Amino acid sequence: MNRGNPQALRHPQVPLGIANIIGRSTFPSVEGYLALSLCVAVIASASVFTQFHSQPEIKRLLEEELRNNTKLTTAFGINIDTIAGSTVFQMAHYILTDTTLIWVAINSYFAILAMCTKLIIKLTFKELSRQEEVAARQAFLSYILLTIVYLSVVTGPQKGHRVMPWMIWGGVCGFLSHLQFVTCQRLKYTSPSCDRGSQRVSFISLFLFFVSIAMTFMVSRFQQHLEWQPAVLLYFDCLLAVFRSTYILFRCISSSRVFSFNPDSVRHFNYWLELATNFACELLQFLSYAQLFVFAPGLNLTSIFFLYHMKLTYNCMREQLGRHRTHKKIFEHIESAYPSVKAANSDDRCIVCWELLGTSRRLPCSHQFHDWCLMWWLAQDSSCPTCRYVIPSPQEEASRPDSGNGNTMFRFNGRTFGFFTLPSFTVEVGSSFGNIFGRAAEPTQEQLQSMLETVLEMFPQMSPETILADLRQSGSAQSTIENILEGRMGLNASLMPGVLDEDLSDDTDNELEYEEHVEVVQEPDSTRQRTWTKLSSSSGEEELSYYEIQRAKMIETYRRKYLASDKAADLRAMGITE
Amino acid sequence: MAGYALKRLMTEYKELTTRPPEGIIAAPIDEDNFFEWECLITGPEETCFANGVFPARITFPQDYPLSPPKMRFTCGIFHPNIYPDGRVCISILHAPGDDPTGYESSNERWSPVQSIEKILLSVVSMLAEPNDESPANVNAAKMWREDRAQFEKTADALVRKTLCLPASEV
Repeated sequence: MNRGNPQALRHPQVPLGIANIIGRSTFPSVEGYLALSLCVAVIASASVFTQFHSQPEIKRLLEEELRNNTKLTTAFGINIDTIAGSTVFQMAHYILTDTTLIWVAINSYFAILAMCTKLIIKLTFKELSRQEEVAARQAFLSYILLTIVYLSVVTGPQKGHRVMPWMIWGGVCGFLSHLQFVTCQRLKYTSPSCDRGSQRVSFISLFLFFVSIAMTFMVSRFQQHLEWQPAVLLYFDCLLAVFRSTYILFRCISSSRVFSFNPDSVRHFNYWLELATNFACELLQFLSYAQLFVFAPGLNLTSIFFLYHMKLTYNCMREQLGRHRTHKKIFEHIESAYPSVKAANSDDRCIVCWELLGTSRRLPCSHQFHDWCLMWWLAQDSSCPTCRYVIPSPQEEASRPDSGNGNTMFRFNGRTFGFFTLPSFTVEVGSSFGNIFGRAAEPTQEQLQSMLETVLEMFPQMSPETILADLRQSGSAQSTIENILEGRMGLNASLMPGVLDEDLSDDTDNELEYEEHVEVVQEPDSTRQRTWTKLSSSSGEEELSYYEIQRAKMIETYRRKYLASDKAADLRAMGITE
Repeated sequence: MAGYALKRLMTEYKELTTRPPEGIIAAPIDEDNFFEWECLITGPEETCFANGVFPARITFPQDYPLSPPKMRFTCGIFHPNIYPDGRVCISILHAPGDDPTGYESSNERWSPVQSIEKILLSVVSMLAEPNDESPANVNAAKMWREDRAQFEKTADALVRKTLCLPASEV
């Protein structure tokens, strides 16, 4: 397979001509955008300053204009003379009255927000892994697209001064949701056990929480100046931000070490928290799209866009409920069938997660597991993990909760797909509410190809065939990415030979995890551990990892053994000894 | 399940470094990625693979230990149960759901009770006793059955290669 050639992957053929220039240029990239906007902002502000300096009459004119503006006095409640006299206000007025300068100002505002986001992410999470980066970029782009359509509907044929507050609002929302997205990803897919990392994460979660509360407060202050429709939209945005921030905050609290003595309760809590937040957020989004759809000025292209998004969020909600139902079924079965018992020895560990058992479920074969560990396992198998004692499965349809998702069910309604038969509730829902929206067509070859590229960018180690197969089922790159992250594709994921050497980074806060880990291993004074710790702490180019040292030792030992064995007679004859 | 795989992998790593099993080394390749490991296993004594030090890579899924990891030798080992590209075909590394060969009962499949150490020990015993009923490498299985001397010579050449010793001239 040509794809498997690592050389070809690392040095892709350089395209020639214009394609080369386009491919290599820094645009469109966030860095390129930031640099460009900074340049423009600097040039614009320099020109404003020089104008103010060289033409004093502008100052006088502006002062007069400001004095005549009655709105200002009511809004700020400060003496009009102070405002009119201050250069800052004069400049602001100058910029606001100039069409070009307004756009430069708005652009600089976005650039500054983007830089803040980048900085905060850098400070909190250090490096983002490749997967996180791609996911964040996808979320960001879809947010931008949405905001543009949203603005076009909300402001309609209004003038620039109506668009500006919306743009500023959209910027703040984008800033918040981007940070929330990245933090969520981190919390969701990382083991929650590092002290120093979690300090920064809790700081950012508090920050997000306060910003979203402040946003809500601001909206409620300005509510009387707004019509009810935009006000409702603003409240939706605020609520969404508050929900997400609360989720992050709670998730942060639940993952702290204080609760690590009882992993099951934490998992239970996280599960319900995630379910509730996701559902609430999707419901809110659905409502806001519905509102936009209903109140859009006339039927146009944007209506289709909103309808499409309504369908997507509706599918997400249903998918979530379906997944929850199957989980609940298994869980109820576990709770009713197996007694909760205290572990015989206090240091007994659960075989699945290797954490302390405590009070846990006992199977008929007398093996004990955490509730959630048992549930995860029973979701894919119906035997005891330890002894393979066959335990009656909860229910046929509940036996594989994660093998499909809502989109699949929506499309391949009631059909048998691969090795699983679609659960029956698909048909129920599909026939009632699903008909309103109609069924989406299967993705075309081009769509599949573009989705494949998206997924491959995040998971270069996966084979394209596997991803394509999943994409055909899920019909959306997002669900496939989720499938991979949640391990639902683990069964089929075959690795491309040759790409294994590629560094596939994962969404983990590993550096910190590792520090903690070194600490743990340092404990007693065994020579091996000391060497390792010493070596891993010493810096320098010739630093060897634990693995490399052990490998050198091992090869040395076994070479000696081999040379002493009968097989090495010819080598000994050649004079090679050790 | 997300998030718990890392915790368990770290616990396993701690175990492997504090109580290293005889003739086995395993560690994450990169400290930033606990889902990709490198390991070394030694050929079992009294077999044609004896004293060889064979490197392999293990890739863990995000929902480990619910799903099995994948193991791939990187030294071009010639063995009936190892695919020519190095992938190890061993029943405990097969998920309960799939059965590519149709030979295994579900008792031998993956279960969370397995661990990195247990996998590697199973692979060592697989090196000692190839299962030529469901071969991953048909040529190797054929040679193992019909021309044992040639098979042992191939194995010995690899052992020497992994130990950085000159190849035998015979």
